[in-house]
Amino acid sequence: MSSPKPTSPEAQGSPKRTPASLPPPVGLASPKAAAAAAGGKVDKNAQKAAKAAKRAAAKGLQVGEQAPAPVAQQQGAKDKGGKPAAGGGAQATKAAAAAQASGSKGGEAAGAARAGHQGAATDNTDPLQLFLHLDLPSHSSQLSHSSKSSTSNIHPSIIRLALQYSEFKIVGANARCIAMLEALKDIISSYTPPAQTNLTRHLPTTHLNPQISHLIRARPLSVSMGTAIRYLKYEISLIDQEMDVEEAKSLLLLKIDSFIRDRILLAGKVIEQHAIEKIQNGDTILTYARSSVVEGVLLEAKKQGKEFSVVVVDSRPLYEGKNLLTSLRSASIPTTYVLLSSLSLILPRISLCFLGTHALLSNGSMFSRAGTAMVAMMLKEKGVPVVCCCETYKFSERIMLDSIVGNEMASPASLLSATSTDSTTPSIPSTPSANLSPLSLLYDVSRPEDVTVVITEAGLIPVQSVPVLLRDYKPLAGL
Amino acid sequence: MAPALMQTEGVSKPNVHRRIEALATKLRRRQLIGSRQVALEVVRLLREIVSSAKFSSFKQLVEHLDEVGRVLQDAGPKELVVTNMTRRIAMLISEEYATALSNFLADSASSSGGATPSSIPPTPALGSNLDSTNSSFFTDAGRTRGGALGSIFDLLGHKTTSAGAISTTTDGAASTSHLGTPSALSSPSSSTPASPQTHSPSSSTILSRPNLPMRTPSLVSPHVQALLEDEFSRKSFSLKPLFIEAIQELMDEVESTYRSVGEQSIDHIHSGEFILTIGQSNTVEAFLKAAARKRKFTVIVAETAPSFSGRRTAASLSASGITTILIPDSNIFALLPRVSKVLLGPHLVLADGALLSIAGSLPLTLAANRMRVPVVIVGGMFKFSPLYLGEADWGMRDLGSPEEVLGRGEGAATGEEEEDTEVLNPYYDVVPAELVDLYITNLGGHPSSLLYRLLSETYGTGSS
Repeated sequence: MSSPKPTSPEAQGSPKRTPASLPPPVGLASPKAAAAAAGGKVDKNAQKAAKAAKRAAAKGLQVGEQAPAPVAQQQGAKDKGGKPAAGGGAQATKAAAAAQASGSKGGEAAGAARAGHQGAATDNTDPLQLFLHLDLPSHSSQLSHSSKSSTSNIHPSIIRLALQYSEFKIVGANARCIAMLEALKDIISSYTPPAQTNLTRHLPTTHLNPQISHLIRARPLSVSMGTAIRYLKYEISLIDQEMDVEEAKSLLLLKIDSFIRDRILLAGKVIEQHAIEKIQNGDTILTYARSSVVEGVLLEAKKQGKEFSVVVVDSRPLYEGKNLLTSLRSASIPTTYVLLSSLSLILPRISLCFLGTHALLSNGSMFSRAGTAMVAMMLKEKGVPVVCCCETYKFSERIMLDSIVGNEMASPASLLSATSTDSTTPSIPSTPSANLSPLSLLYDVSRPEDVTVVITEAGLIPVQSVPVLLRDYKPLAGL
Repeated sequence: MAPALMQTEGVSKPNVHRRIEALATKLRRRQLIGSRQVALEVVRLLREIVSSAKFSSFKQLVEHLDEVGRVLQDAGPKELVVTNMTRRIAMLISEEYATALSNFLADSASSSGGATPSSIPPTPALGSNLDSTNSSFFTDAGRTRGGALGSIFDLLGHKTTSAGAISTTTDGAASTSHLGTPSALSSPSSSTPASPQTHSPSSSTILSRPNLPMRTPSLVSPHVQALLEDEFSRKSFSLKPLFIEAIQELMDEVESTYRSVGEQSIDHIHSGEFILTIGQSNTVEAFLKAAARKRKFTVIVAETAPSFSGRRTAASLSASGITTILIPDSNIFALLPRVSKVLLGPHLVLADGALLSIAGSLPLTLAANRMRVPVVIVGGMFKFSPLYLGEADWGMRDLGSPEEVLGRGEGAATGEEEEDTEVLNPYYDVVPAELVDLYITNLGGHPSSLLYRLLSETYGTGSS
């Protein structure tokens, strides 16, 4: 991920205040008035506007639309919301460098201008209207020092974790889940129930829920995290009301540890063993991006003396495959690295495909890193077995028929900026205009028929059996 | 590097040779990029060669052009457009020559009193009597044999109609299946076996290419005909203006590709639709921009790593007022179900309709095909090559610099000795024709099943 410009946090932090200035584009309320007004009405419209403002702010930053508030307001009035002012650009850089406050205003103005734009020209619909229900990732500083009432009760571990999530320092369903459970352990060990209530009643709802919603503000909950939280809450509900608080806490910590051990780490080991049996000497194994389970399989297979080579397919914007490449290379596994677009070139030599997944939907579709569906389809068409490695705790009851109903957007900034990851690539040549909307989804939903077999810790199953396993497999009580 | 113009070097003057050399160097250094650009340069050069050439027979000129084409193609083996253009020009001027020749022969025949001028319809544009567009046509052997056959056939036809009928019916299937073979000489006149002279010209123009210049002089003796042709061939120098005019027409065609493709855009794009494209193609841009004047629609552009040429497309489209969404390549699959058309501008279209298109096209078109999203190809006729992938080998896919994909030191663990990583960065994908639903060229829209006809009309039916 490229590092976003310094002021974007403020710009994105503002939408809470923008709603008030929503429909009438002219005569925008001052921030203070807006803030005052916003206290009362947080209706749907306001939320929508906030989202639009957020998006506009993200885009506005790219356009260099950091003009100080008044300029942008004029623009809004003129219904030229998207167009950056020529003079504004120079100021924008200044603002970005120096005054955070002015940056904040600029961002808000951009949002307001966008709102005005929408209000005045209704036929000019947002090209991204298909994706309006999806959330943009919140920026880190919005999470850290917004110092609003919402963050005051948040545990420091959670605040730190939310930052790591939002900056993509911790990615991957397993890593995020383990990190969250560790943070929850911190919370539980430092928890004392208030006087008039007890742990069972207070901890899960009043205490944990705000923490979790803070995490959700950073990034939507992954299926793995959802399962873990449900498990924890179930365990809390089992605790006898009479039990000593300290004892209950240590019991809960133990339960969390056992979840991490059994459902994640041991499950991974079992999957490794199953998967290694499928690897033959001389195989060329393809994998996409980076999955901790697949990585474990490949490293363990090498350790057990299998001779094979690996093709790592990778793609923007996260380039996770590069990390996988690093660890495979240090394990002396012969590797090939290609981008997703070059898939057809290496296809003829592939004999096996291992894919990890973010979640496995109830109809057998993998909900996984964007691009996985393409890889699975290509290999299936080629007749290569597609093996999905997935722990059972990532199984989801949900069914998605396309990749748009439930997804997560990555910050579009990385799409427009000169690729920070490669110095050799050409940057986008002209200044992006109002017509250009970047869009980057983080996940996609593959076709169930593309997956040959799913390897879980409960054994190898066809995708059709996913819902069965989901209903019947109860490794730990309560799930 | 001296170009290998051994046999026909004398045809062009030294300064023209220098220009050939210059273009070859440009191609070799990949300084000339883009099919249209290459096509224009080649046509321009060939026009100059033809206009300044000194040749003693028409055959010599064609052989010279052929050799120049080969030199250029060797210099830029990936730009098959070079061959497309040389073959096209050879075909065009041969057509001009054939027309002129048949007129000349008819004139001389009528002046000698024997021929019936009415039996010489004008040579149709698509059916000259050429077996191939390059050096192999108009060989003297074929000529005299043709003449001889003609007269023998004539005799047979008059005397034993049954023999003629048999010979033609046996050949009938073959001659219709591959029109270009010399066996087409056994013309379908057998359907009216009474007299070969009265065969209907329409059936001959449809089934076999009308070998009229051969048939006409069947009243003249073959020997005289050969002499006449030789004489005409030597005088073909005077046909130069006709040749240059033909080449100029081709040039105009190439130059106006964007416009003529763009004009068709509103026949294919409806308002409010989502169109997905990858890479950068001027034809695609022209097509979309032309449509945007009348319709409002959204274009989704994949940025097409590692060249990121999609960003240029996105920037250019959005600058001209088209609503554009820029996505990373990995999002293609997720968004395809919301897309109503996939638009591609290939580098080259091979003879079976397969595309040589930017890397990433195959996954895209395959996914589109599986999701029943139509795939539309736009490109000028000059991109349609008469070669098959078998002839134009797989090396065509051309690997680019691996550093664009994986920077130096990236993905490496620090320090220790480790396994090397192979990094691949192909330029092109080969997309089979069955994944393409429509080819839009400057001539109109075509299904892939019609491409072979289009090619035989463009390049003649000879095998390469």
